[in-house]
Amino acid sequence: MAQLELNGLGKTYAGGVRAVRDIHAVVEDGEFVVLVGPSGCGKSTILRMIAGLETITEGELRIDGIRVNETEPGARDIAMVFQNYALYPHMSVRGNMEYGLRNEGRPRAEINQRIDEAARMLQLTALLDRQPRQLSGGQRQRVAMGRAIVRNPKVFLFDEPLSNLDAKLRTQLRAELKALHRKLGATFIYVTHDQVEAMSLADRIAILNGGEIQQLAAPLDIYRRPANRFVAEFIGNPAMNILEGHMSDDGWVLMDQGQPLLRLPSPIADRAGQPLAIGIRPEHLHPAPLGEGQQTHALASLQVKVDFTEHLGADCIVHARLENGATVALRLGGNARAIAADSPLSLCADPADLHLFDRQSGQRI
Amino acid sequence: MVENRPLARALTHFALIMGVFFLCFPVWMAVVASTHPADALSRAPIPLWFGNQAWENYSTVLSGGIAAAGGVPVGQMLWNSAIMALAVSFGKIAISLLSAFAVVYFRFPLRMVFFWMIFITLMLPVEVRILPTYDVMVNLQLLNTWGGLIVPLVASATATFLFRQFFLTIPDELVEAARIDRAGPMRFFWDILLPLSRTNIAAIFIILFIFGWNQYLWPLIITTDESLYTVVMGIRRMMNAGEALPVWNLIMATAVLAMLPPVMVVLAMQRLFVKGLVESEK
Repeated sequence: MAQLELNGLGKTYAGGVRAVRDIHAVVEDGEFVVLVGPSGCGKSTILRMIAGLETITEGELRIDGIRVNETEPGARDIAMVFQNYALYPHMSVRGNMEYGLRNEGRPRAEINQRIDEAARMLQLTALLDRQPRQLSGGQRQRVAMGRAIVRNPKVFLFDEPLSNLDAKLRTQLRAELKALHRKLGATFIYVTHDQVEAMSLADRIAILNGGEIQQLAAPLDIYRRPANRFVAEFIGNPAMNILEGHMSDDGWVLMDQGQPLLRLPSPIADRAGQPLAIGIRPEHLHPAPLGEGQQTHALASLQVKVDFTEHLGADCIVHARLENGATVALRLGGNARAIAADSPLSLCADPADLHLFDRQSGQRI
Repeated sequence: MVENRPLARALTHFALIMGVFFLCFPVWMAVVASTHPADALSRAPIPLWFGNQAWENYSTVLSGGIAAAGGVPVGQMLWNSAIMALAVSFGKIAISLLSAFAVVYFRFPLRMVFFWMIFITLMLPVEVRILPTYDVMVNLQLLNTWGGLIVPLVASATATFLFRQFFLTIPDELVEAARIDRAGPMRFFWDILLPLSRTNIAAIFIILFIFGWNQYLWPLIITTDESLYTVVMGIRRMMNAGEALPVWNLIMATAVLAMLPPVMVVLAMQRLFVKGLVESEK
């Protein structure tokens, strides 16, 4: 159980590539933090720096207030679960789990007791004498977790642990992982590129891009108030619709090349005549009621032409095109009827659901 | 060839049987010759079936040796060969495992220079460096000793290279997991690398044992003391019997005996070797 402090952590590789820069974060005791981002964003590098597998070239890492930059991985009191499990292929499940404890020189009785406990927690008791090659992917992943649990570390590190499993198993293990976190009450740091895993597991999500933290906040805060365009487009599926244009001189309409894209119910006076990007989540777009003019005066409205409709069972995603060629997606309920291609459609959205971004910096306004 | 045509099948079988015949005939002749009295082999029709002198021939060879060939009993020569072949192969495996471990897992200055130095010696045949090596052995006063017989053959670029290639296929995550599990470098080597290399070690052991067993030139140069003679040297010396006729029956008996240990090693290790090829655990 520990607090983790990242003070301006950075990594520059020998070739001069700066993979990670200026990471400031405090992970509280017992917190589940997920690092998420596209590949090459530096999330794994951060995890490996915390583990001690990668040297830290800038900044400082503290576990429970003690600087560990120079501490060997084995002495940091962390445990790590790898993407490819990294089980020792020639050792039984028990051998894999006890190897770290044996190296610490723990007494036999304590080792056995800890293994029994962890095996019971992960339903591995029947498998303790098997070899890793006799196990399925999900079982191997459990053994890898068991190997971490028996060490009773201050911090658990997970490097995309579920990405080699099929979708159904991933959902199941995700739930188990969440339950495990609740049971152990330990500090978890988890790297993934899967936003569903991030949203469902995390107490807080750190979204990374280009080696920098874009936003560090609770999942719903990130979803509802993305700090910038990158976060807005990264989280959410289908991605948030972003309309790019200039505000008209009176501040009522978002224009692109002289065409109106989005009419607002009230003007944005301080951005009048300036470039602006407006984001709307697919589920916040609705087809306008037929008798136009009555309730719609309080809503933002836009005109689109339908491209095609995807029926996903619970949802129905309509892909459409604006006057200037930009595409938008809207999410309708599972009962929605398919809309014929090329038919025009009026859409509206609550102005409270609009996200305004600066077009140069991409920051939220 | 895979099609079922009788003529093609018959031809294939004929070719294969001929191959087997040419391969096995000399061995058959050696075994047959070792069971006849000496004069039977000097007469015109060479016997193609077993004689009745097997017991006599083999016991002469094993206990007494042949007076004309220095009289060293073959039993002792076999023993010498075994010691030398085992020491050379174990020494080679130990040293090349460690040097491959160093080259793959440690970052030290001039690492690649050392690797290429090891690699380049692959291209030098033993015969090229035999004179300087002999000179070094003389200066170290290792002539006619086990040390002189074994030590110069122990370094092996080939085995180092093979182990290096194998270590490179071991996933980095395994090393990292071991580091997190508080295994130091030697513990990692002993607990993880060595068990994983088991089948590779077996394969290399087969090759190295036969290499050590069949050494001829080096033992011939370095030893003059009969108590250090190896069996391969011994066979050669028996044939240089001077004035007398070579005693082919005894020579062949010795040759058969000299063949047995490598054959046994291959048969014993083959299972492990094949097992290593079949089950891919990584």
